[in-house]
Amino acid sequence: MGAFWDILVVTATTFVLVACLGGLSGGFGRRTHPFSSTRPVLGGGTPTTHAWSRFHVRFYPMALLFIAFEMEMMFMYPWAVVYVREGLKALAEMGMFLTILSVGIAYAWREGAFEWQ
Amino acid sequence: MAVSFLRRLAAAAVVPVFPLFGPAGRSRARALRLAPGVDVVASPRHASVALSIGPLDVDLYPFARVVHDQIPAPRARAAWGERAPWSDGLYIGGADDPIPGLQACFRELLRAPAGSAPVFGPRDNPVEWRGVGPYGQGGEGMMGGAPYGRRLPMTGDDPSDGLALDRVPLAVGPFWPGLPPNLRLEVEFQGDVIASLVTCPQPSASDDLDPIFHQAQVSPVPLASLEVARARHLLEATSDFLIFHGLDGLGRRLLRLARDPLGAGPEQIRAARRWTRAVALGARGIGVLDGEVLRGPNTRAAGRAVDARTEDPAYADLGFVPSTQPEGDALARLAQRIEEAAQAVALALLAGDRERRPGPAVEGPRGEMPVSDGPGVRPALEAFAIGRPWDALLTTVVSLDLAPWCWSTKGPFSREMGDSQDGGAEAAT
Repeated sequence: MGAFWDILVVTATTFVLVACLGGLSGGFGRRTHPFSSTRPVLGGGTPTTHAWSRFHVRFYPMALLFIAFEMEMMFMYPWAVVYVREGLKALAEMGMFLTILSVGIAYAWREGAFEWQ
Repeated sequence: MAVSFLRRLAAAAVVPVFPLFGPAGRSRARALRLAPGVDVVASPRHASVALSIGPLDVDLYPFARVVHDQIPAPRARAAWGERAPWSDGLYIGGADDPIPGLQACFRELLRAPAGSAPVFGPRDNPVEWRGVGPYGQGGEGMMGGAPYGRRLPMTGDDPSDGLALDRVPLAVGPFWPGLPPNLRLEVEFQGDVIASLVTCPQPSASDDLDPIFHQAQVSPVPLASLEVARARHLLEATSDFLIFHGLDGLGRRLLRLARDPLGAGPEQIRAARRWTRAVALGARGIGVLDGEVLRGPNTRAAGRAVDARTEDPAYADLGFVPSTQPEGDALARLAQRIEEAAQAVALALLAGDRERRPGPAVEGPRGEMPVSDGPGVRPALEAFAIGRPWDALLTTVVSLDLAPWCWSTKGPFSREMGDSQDGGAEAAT
């Protein structure tokens, strides 16, 4: 029960503090940014389209590959614990897992996924 | 008490200035970089003072006012020379030293921030948010509609991998640091690469070349003065490249050499070539253009030894041989300009008080006079940009030292002249 109250008090304090600060800045702060000051700097040009656009994330395949091969390291931490107990059998299993993954790396390499652009 | 002390401390700092200039104000904008007490910043967001370096073409006034508005308050506006986009604010005579005036203006601004210059543009968004459609964007689906009066970008084919995503059109310039004066680029971005580029130069009544190059076409001029003016132009163009890439110290060092190239001598300039090349290696392989379409130092940096001075009898016994670079990239153009500046100083020292008679074609610092980039440069640049990132395009543009389209231009500045002022209001109608 005590932990629940602690969390409640911290949450309530946060909300009250944020509301106070927001109210203070809203009440006393000056809005010094007219619309024409907030437009993006284009050296004199003004944007003709809305900023809501779908951006081409060119690093996406690279990021996906990174996550895939980084996750395999995650599996190795619990495996290291099991390896102490199981010995050679665990080593063989991890060897198979890594072999399959390295086939994946070889395939991605052949497809040119590691080349930028 | 404490606040006023802080204000006084801030007022003693260098004045952050964003210069707005056309071809005629270019040399004074460069001189400002060497002036103590003033910091020429690369973005209006970093500035406190918008400084118009006149005369500015009337067509550029709306663009200058947009940039002025983008300086965060407290801001001040100043005009150095005639024909500024604003008639109020600080005025400095064209021939006067602007530093004391700018410093006083900046101190006054920090003492009384309420005196900040008002904006020219609208205070509130002229077009309201119209939240219709499933995402509140005002149209059907994810596309269409015009929230805040600006339409959403539409999809287009990708130049590099064919994934059809939004094409974002942007009009950049003419006060974008690094672009030559009076040049505006209409770029369409597809993600991080350029899908299309249209160069829109604005014709101007004035020029940024030393008048001696025009004079040499019609009357005799001292050969030494002609070559010193050439060296100065080439060194200044190189310093523009370095400063644009953030190498301010090196750029200023070249500007200092450009003040008195003859005093510096060819050896000191060649030494500058060595350290500049070492530092600017990032420009290697960027902006390789066909030498056929280029002129002057640019074409010589692409391996073509074309120079009007080889046909000129005034240079006959000075042993002039045009130097060339084989690579044709931005780094080669940089090295070529410094090498040619050193060559020009060496020629000036050899020439003594010899006169150059009019008749044969004059080789200007951008190629054969009357100055022109040649008809092929703009199409070549527009073709080059497609599929390349923005930084590669800008490095290429800065390295070319393009003429600010004085009399060589064909097209008018921009078809969007009218709606660029308040894009939002225009799009809504």
